[in-house]
Amino acid sequence: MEIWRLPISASQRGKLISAGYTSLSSLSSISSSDLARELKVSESEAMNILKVASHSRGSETSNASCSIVEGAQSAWDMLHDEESLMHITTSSADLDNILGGGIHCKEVTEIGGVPGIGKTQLGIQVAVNVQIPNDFGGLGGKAIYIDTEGSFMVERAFQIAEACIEDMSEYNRFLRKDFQECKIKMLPQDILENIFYFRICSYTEQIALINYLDKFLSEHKDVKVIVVDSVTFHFRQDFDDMALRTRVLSGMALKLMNLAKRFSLAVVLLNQVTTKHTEASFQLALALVTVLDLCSVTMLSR
Amino acid sequence: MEWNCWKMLKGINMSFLLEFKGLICCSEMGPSSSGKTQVCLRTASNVARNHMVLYLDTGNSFSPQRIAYFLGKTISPSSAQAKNQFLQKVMSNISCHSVFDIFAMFDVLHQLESYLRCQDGRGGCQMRLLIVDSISSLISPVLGSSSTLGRALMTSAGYLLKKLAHQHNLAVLIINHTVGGEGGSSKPALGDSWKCIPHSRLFLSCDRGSNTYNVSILRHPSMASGKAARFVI
Repeated sequence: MEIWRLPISASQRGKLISAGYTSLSSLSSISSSDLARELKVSESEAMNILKVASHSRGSETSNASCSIVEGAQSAWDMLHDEESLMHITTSSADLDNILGGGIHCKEVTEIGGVPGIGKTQLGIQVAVNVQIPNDFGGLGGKAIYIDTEGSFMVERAFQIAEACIEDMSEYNRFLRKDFQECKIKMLPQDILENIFYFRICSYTEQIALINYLDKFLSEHKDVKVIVVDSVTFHFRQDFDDMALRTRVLSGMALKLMNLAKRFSLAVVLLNQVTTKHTEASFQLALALVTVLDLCSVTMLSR
Repeated sequence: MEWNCWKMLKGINMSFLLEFKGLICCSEMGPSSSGKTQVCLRTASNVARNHMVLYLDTGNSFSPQRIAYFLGKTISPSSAQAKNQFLQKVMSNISCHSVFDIFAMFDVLHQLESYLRCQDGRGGCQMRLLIVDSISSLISPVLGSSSTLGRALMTSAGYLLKKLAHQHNLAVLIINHTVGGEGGSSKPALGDSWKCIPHSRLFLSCDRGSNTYNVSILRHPSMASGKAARFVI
């Protein structure tokens, strides 16, 4: 690899070439003080050049199975990673079957339905189920619940948490008869403590929160699911500029996908439905669906 | 270097040949769930047998299981270990990178450019296919009505891809979406400025309720536009 491809400034590059260093190998055996003297630059600059050169040389001589670009993975590695990824169960066997085992991590799942069908209940259930410990087949992680409509009820979450613990102790009793009976040490209060709740009152707050989640997730690495209920609520009324709305929503979707991929968590978006008039008939369609082109979309109906 | 697209898209019952020359930049568009990603995965699995493929994914839609399924269908039944080895060899030729904004994509394309420059010197397995899925989701957030930065980024991205295709004998496959046009018909996203950038454009659609997909040519340097075909994946 030649000198001209190194990420150094043009003046440094010019000095290197005029001093006779045209390839990386020529820089391999020189010390930084000698280089500083030859190029007539400061010693720290020379050290920087040598560091960059050795870094580039290191990545050049790596074998072909290494990535072409930084951060790329081969499909073979991804296949094995995918097999070891866990799912979050929704506590309904049929729904888990449709979703392929449950809610997948590293993916964004959108669930929609008419009002009153149980989307918020499903969201709370997922936020509780993600905390099932590893011994019982769960992820043992925490949850972020972003509420835009104000439909989250703590009493209901407490009931669901109690039911989940009861379910776990029954499973314990059923399967581990021969082992020593170990009591479930979790309490419903612990489950509620592991749900981070954000209440959003306008679309600017929603955009700001999605931008802030990056920092939040780097501090709380054990969060495994983000539930947004519901994602398009604040964008459906009072938005004057339609083009701006499309841009903002698609940007938000990309940021959520980025978060899902980087932190290996699941994102669950709950959405409302509208009626779409196509070819003289009315059809139920997810609100603003053309904007959010996501991984898996499920519609609930009675 | 001339490529026969029939070989590339083997298994899809295309009733005519699309010849892709080595420096082609091809853009596919279609409404949601019209099979665009499936066509890309199929192409990648075929090309990866002999060459390297880079897949730039913007929506977490790359599925290694689907690629393994496509490859598994084509090889003759043999021992599980031989199949495993074949899968490993071919799938190690496919690299997938997730990009979620346009600047990350520029970064990746510049790294790819320096990689390709080294590659041209030495022999061995070379990279021949770059897939961008999908470019419209990268460009739409920056394409605004007031400032021209979005359009400038879009055009420079397009020309960078064309330059890569031309200088390093690479085939570039880009996925675009459709948006609603006048009178309820759909037209490709990203507008007229993007129309002239790819060398050839294909329009995919699928019949609701059946497994067959339609593809028609919108623009091609050497074949007449309007030709259509149906296929099943």
